[in-house]
Formats: sequence, C-alpha cells, structure tokens
Amino acid sequence: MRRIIILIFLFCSSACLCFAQQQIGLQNLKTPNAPGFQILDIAPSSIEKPTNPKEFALSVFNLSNNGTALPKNFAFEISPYWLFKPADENVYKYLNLDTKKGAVTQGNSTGGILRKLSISFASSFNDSTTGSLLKNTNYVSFGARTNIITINGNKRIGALTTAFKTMHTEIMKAGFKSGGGVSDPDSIEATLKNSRAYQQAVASLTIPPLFQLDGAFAVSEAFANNEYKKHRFNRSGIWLSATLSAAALSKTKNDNLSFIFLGRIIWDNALIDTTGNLLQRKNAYDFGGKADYSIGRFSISIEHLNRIYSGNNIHNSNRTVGTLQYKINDSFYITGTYGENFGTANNLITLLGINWGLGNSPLSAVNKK
Amino acid sequence: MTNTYFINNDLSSITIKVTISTPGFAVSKIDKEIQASSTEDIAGSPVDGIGDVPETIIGNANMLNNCIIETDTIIELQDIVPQEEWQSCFKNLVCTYIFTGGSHGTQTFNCDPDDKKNSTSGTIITVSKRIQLVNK
Repeated sequence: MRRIIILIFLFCSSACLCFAQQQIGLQNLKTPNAPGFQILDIAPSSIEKPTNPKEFALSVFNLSNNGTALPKNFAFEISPYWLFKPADENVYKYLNLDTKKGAVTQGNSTGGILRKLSISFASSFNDSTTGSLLKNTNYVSFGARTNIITINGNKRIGALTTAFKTMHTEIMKAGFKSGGGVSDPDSIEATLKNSRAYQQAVASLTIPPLFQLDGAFAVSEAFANNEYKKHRFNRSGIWLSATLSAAALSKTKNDNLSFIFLGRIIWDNALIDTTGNLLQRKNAYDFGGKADYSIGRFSISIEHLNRIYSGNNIHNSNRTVGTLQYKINDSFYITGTYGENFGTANNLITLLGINWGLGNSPLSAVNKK
Repeated sequence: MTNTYFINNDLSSITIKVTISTPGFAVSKIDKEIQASSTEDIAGSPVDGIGDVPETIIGNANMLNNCIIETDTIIELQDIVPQEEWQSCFKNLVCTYIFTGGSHGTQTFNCDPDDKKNSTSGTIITVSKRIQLVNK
C-alpha cells in the first residue's frame, strides 16, 4: 500500500516538475509554509512548528489548480547563512550550546538569529475569490523568518552530552582504518546504522528544545489580472511564535506534545465587500495557538487563530485548521489539512500534499553526483 | 589531491593544526605515512564533536622528508542538521590545515572538492587531506 501511495505521488510530482526549471532538484520541492504564503492565508499551517531554513528551497503550490506553473504560483526560500562559508561553525553553536570549562551548557540563546534566518518569495494566482484573496489576482509576497531564542533545557543538554561521547567512539570504530585512512562514507553509514549504541545516541538528538521563540515578517502586493499597472498594497505583517515542548520535560523519547502560541499584527487592505470587491485599509491582530502531538510516524495538530480588526468587529473572523501528517519514510511525508480559513466567502481549507527530501537519491537525476 | 609543504633539512619542529567548520558532528584523525606501508598515528580530535585538532608536533624537519600527513575527518549530520541542508553542509564545508616550521613558515591548506565525499543519503561526509612534506 505504501509503495502504491509513493508511486501515485511520484507520478503527480513528475507532472508538476515538467514545468519547473531543470536545475531545480526534486528534493528542493515541498508544500510551502513560508511567511510569504502565511501572509496570504494560503499556507497549510499558519502556526508552524520551529524548523530550520534551507539554503534554497522552491515550493510548488497548487500547480494543478489552474494549469499554469511558474511564475504565477510559486514560492522559494533562501537562507543567506548558507551562501557564506562560516569559518568557525560547530555543532554546539548550531544547537545553541556551549562547551566552555569542559562542560556542555546552554549557549548563546540568540545564536540562531543569523544561522536560521530565511527569506522567502511567493506568488499565488487564483481564478476565483478564496478567503481574503480576489479572483484573477496575482499575489506576490516577500517574507523572512528566523529563530530568535532557543533554550535547550537540562534534559536535552544532558542527552546531547551523553550522545556525543557515544557517537565519537562509534564513529572512530566505524570510520577510521587501523592502518590509516578513512572508510567509504556509504560503508560508514551502513556500519553506524547497524550499531545499536550509535542509533540510541542519535535518537537522543531528536529531543526538541524546551523553548523556542521564532519571529517572521512578510509583505504582499496584489496584481489584478497579473498586470503591473494594477498593483496595490495587499497586506503586511509581523509575528512571533513561542513553542513549549513537553518532550524536554518527559522521560519518554518517542512522542512529543508541543504547544505553540502565536501573536501577529497585520496591516491589511481588507476585502469588505465581496460583490463589489471593495477594499479598505485596516489593522488586524491575530492571536491563537496550536497543539501538536507526534508519536512515531504520525502527528496530529489543531490550530485556532482569532483575527480582530481594529475599530470594527464586523470583519473579525477565525481560522481553525486540523492537520494530519504521516511519515512514510525519511524522504516522504503525506500531509492532509482541513478546516475553516479567515473570511466568510469560500473559506474552506482542504489541502493534501506531500513533503519530500530525497537527498542524493538516484531518483533525482539532476542532482546525482 | 596531495599538496606539498616544503621543509628544511634541519631540527625545526613541524606542527599541524586542523580546524573544521561545520554544524555537523565531526571527528578527525591525523596519520603520518612514512612509507607506503607504514603509518603512525599523530593526533586526533578531542571527544567533543567539533573535529578540530589543536596544534600538534609532527616531528623534526630532517626526519620528515617525503612523509605524507593525512588528516581524515568524518562528519555526521543525521538529526543535527535538517535533511534539506545536508547538501549545503557538504558544499560549504570549510577545513583548514595549518602547518608551521617549514621553509616558508606558516602555511594554510584548505580542503579541495576532490578531498570530500558524502554518502548516498548525504548524512555522512568524509574529508581526506594529504599533504606531503618535501625538503626544499
């Protein structure tokens, strides 16, 4: 069954890829959740779990919706940090840890601001009015997001310290030949996969930080009929999300319950009359939260956001969305989203997508070494 | 690719220092290849995952002619760096090998693209840098 699902998605994906540029690798395509899409209320989730940015990721959204491909419906995300070769990076700095005085401790809590900064561009063209988006309008947005604060917590720090010692020992055994030299990387990987001690150590690395504060901002312009002359300001926003992870407190390792709280300020050119497409500048405030539970390959989450417009509560609305995600393997995730979006017209959200990351898999011929 | 570091035929101490810049978990080891079939451990990185090797004396210059100093580094990215960044980690990996005591004083070598390999999945990166010490 799992193979059939993969084949179906590969077939659909390859059809979409025909529109993409040849130099874009399959692993660079994923369903978008970048700020550029979140500002348009069309991302699968408005409240995202903390993640790391990519050097360059192109997301294809809704390509099959209107038969067009790039550039009308696209998103890409770039992390400037990866464009420069940092000369003194190490695993501790990357994980907001410190090793001064020989002990591993909490490091620079704000060390992720530049490391995890990502910039995104997105475009969405709709041939019908959906939520707060007007028909036959191309919405182009620019966004940025980063991790502002990470506090690892004692449980994670302790687990990482122990794991690193085991990893060092096992890598020495698996990788270095007795007469000098290093083994083939595939051989090292295979040996380490068969090492129970190593795999237990690596599993400890998945314990999430106790607390993370992420920030993002985005601005979008609307181009009616995709014409430059008809462009207008659409929306801009700045938001903060705070994530508290129960895994950093519990004793079990294979499940995690996290709570994410979101606050957002939006400067909106709001649609106040759907029949006459009448727009009015308004400020809006979003606040809400998300509960996310993951166990093994499966995760379930529900998010709720209230949007309050300043000075006029007629246009206030809510967004309530549930998301199920199933990890088929390390490369494939199936994501299903269902719920109610902001606004009153066509505000049903139903998305079925797949996230993939194939690395150097032979399936990705353009990236094969 | 094997680089060359020129040394004098004297009693100068030749040293090496290795720095690895990666967000992954790194382990390094330095060997001295005296003849094709004879190698000797010089040093290794501490048990910290950074992969750096502090300044270490290889030996006196007059005993090192034609020796090859091989520094091997293994980097693990699994569950430390997100999978979509593994290629970036491989591409942007910075390794420097600093030699002192030779004919031209301090000389810094960097890893070349053909010194690096990664596993098919991308989670493991290996770097092998060979530097030959030659009397000038």
